Amino acid sequence: MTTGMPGSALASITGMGSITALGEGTDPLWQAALDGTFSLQDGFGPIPEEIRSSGLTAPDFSTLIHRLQESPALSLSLRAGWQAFQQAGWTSLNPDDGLIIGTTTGQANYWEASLMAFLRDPSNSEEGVNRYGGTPLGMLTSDLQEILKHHGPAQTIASACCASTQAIAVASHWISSGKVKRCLVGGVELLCELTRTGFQSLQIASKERCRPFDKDRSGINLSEAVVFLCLEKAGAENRLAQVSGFGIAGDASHMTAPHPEGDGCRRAMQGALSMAKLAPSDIDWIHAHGTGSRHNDLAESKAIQAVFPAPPPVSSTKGVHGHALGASGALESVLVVRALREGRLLPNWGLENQDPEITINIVREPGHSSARHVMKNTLAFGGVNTSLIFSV
Amino acid sequence: MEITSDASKASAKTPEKTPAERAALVEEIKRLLVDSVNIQHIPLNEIHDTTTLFGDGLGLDSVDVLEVVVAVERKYSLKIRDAKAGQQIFRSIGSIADFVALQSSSAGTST
Amino acid sequence: MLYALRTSIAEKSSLAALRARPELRKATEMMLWAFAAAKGCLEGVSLPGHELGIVVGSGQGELETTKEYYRALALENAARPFLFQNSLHHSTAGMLSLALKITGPSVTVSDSFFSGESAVDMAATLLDSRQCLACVVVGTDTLVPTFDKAIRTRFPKDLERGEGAAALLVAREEGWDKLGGKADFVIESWSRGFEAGAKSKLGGYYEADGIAQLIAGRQTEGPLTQPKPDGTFSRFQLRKGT
Repeated sequence: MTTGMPGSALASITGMGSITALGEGTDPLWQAALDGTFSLQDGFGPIPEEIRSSGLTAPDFSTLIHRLQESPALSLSLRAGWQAFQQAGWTSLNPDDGLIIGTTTGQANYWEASLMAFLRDPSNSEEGVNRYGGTPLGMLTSDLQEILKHHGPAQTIASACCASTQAIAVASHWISSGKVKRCLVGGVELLCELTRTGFQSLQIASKERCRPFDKDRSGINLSEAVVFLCLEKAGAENRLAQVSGFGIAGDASHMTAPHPEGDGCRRAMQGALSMAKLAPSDIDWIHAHGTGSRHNDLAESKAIQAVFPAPPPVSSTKGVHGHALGASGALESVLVVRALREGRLLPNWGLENQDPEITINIVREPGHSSARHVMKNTLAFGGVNTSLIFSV
Repeated sequence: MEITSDASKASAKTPEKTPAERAALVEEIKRLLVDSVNIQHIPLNEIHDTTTLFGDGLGLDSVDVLEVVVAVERKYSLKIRDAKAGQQIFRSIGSIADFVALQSSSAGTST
Repeated sequence: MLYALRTSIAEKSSLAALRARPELRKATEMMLWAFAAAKGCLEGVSLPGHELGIVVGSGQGELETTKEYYRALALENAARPFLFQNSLHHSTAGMLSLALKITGPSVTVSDSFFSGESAVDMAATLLDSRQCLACVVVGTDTLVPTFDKAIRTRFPKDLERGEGAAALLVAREEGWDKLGGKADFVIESWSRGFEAGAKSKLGGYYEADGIAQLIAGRQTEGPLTQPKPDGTFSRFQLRKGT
């Protein structure tokens, strides 16, 4: 089935860590992806409160204590990052390592409530204004650098739902081009009033379980995730999987809806194949963006058909963990990597009746697979599309 | 005030707006719409009662119309909870004006 | 080596005319700034859209729009779709790709005082990995009075703050060759440093103005050092254009 050439990998993945609506660690996430357990309520998937407030279990960091105490984006990043470190056998970040974070709202939980209090009544303390103005998006990355005493290359990518797939892509490139030896990549997205109410205002959020590719799909489920991956040079002995290619392309069609034919998504997938030196027939499974929105799922399926004369099985796992926005790429990459390692195909939970306009083969049951190359898609607001290829 | 597709209660007690009142309401809605979606390049005298929001009328997209809905809700203190009814209400300038006129008269006050 | 083929610094006076354009009717103030700069560095460039990329670097992002979204939410419980759509950091790049018909890669970066430099670095990544042949790189931030005092706590007291947008069109060898083989200046490398007590000499400073400062100093042959408000600095190694 697979004819792709080995040896064209960009980077290895050697460690993964996650804190999601399914709990702490990648095991509960993986289990839910296999058995379809759905635990989101009213269309939202927050990280369970007892995990949020249970304090740091990583080595104690005394700097930036006020943000560590009040910015879950930061404290949970350290915990998820620590899980990845432990799996990879890392103990710190060296000056020749990189750090790349993909996020859209960053540390919004740290400033949002006090900002709204100030806006309601400016005679309220200026704390909201001070917190908001003093915590730009990139501060999540620089806070992590300060805590981890990291002086190497770092970057914060804010490209909406493509943020963490782009982060993995860029990290892979930094490693393969020799800019860094290793790279810690994070996808960090916590729910906040902006995203909770904002997606509802666009009428693309659903209170019901999202149903990717279903004829009655009615919107996305928003969720939270803090996910970290350790990347090292290709061929690492303790690798879980490798990144073999990526592609990034734009639709230039609409601010919040994809190109109707998925034009940018098509070119992103083709770009990834070309970089990985693989043919469409080498891809064994496509882990779709598949949000359950009317526009996304149709456009993405058309793009898949335009690239693959005989498309491989396709599934989205958002029916289990929701859409974690800027962190979705990292979260779903963790599932792809684990699926590749354990020889499994993950089903498209939430689908009941496939949309007749969508004719690609959607995975309905968990199965075993000897997949070697898997494509991971993300499509974002602003019409940007990013595709990764993971291989074992 | 909540709006559902069952408008029968409201229609039972509605005095019509005078032509002048309605014309003034249409002008108000035109301005509200133009400002909410920044279509100041379209002269107000080219926007009529029958001008549709989508397509050949004002050429707005779905997000524009959602913004108009919120603008109308805010200005006239309404909430439109029924998406299907909403589609009919926000078809044209005139249909929005009719709807707003209906709600304010059945409430006994105008906002 | 990165060839800077075009440079452009947006002028505030150009924004009013841009606002009147129908295709920019949903643009925020920051998007207009960014558009003015990006458009300026695409003059006379004829590359198909899919061979062009766009990177936007902004330290604070859509400050004003986000504030207004929260205001309507806090005061009226109204969630305004336009404002939400425009409040995300990536909306600027999205608007630029729409308005300028750029269908190659689009990326937004946000790295505080290094947002401009980070955007240039991202462009290099996109070019090296062959995602596009040439890349528009924009650095932009706006001044919003409500937050001025708060943002100022991260700056030296005597630093004059400003706003604006600046853009470069950059390419590697293949793109440079395809676009006429001429470059305004050449970036050989860049780095970041920490220098205790480095004083900022900048006026009208904004977080992503690394690109504006780079353009201002582009005739330098050798290192161009940009001190940042927190005592760190960036250093570009430049060569004159070809």
